[in-house]
Amino acid sequence: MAHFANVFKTKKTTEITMREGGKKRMHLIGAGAEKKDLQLKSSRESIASVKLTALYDGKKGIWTVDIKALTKGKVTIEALSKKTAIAKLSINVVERLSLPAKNTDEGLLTRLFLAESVNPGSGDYDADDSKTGMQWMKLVIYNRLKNKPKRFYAADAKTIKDIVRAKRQFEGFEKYPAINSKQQGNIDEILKIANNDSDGRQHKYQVFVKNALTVANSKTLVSDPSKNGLYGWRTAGSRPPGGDLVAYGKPLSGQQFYTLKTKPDKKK
Amino acid sequence: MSGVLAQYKYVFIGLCLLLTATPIQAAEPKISINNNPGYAYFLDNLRKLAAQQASIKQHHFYITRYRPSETAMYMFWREGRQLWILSTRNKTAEHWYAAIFMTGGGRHLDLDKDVVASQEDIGTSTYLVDQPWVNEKLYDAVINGDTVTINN
Repeated sequence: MAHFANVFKTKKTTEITMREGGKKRMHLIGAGAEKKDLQLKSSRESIASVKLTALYDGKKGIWTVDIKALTKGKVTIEALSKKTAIAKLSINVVERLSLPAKNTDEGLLTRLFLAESVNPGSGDYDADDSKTGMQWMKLVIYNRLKNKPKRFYAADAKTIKDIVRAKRQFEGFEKYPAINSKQQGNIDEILKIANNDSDGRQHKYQVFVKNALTVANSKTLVSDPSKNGLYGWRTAGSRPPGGDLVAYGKPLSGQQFYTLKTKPDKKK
Repeated sequence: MSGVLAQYKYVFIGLCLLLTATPIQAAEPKISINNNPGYAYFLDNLRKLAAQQASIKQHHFYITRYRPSETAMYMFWREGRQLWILSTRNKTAEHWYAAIFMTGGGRHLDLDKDVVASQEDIGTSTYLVDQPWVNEKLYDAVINGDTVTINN
């Protein structure tokens, strides 16, 4: 029985999700080697189109198929041999992932999380820990705003943007909404991979971006796990900061979080 | 009397063991980057990095050795004037690409901009490091570590 499969895999795939404007290459397996017998049809050409590109493996009847996702919606791709349906693939075309406007708190936080968190490609990365790390980063920002921001080099801070723009606190964000080219380049590449239906890393990066968006957009903060509150983070393996900051627990997805030695005085 | 001494026999044995015990970390042999399962990918990505600065004919990278229990190793890139914090868990092509080209904040330290005089001066920064710490890492990397030379 013929079926669609991801490239270089044999397992049958019956449904996929693609991003608007995306392109994806798949294999049609067990469809014989005669091109003249084969036909591919899209149930809605305005949503996604499909093309039989080349014979990949004649003996196993494996064909390369290229799919283009045009607009949002659901569509079925059917493979026919001698006008008889032999395989089907359902495609759900969704919006491309994008970040909130830079001039919003959500936009600022999302970009900060993506720039500061361990990359999904790293050996240290764990999706669940990464999301928790982002929740804790959000706590750090708000804790700094609420409790004597002057000690965090953000005297007179009224907004989280003031906290993030504080001198030499968050690499590359001192002039936000302008972000240093290194951090901006990372953010751009993360988003590009998350939206690239042809990239084998897409799913991991999609989860990463979605977690950043979810945490940034959340109207509430998670409960602070530290008795005195979380007030900082640094790369695991970097020099501890000394002074009032002390390590809280063990590193989480490549980041060590810090609390204060003594409970802060909440008076500004 | 012998009964009293017998009670303390096990206390005495325990004390002897404590005094002669070696901390586990100090006994662990250090691992070289050469033994990383993804060493070929690491090298390949360093070549790509060096090629981005093709005007410099030769690039030198010095990598510290690390114990199995440690989660970080350090790399001094002489021509880039940078000290990098690398995860010891990096093993695959994807890991090493991300480590070299897509790293998050605080992992690639610019030795001309990100170093302050003392640990106290780090304050509440999420990325600055101090000179004595940097000196220690550079020494370990150059003197005790492994060197990779990439020619453009």
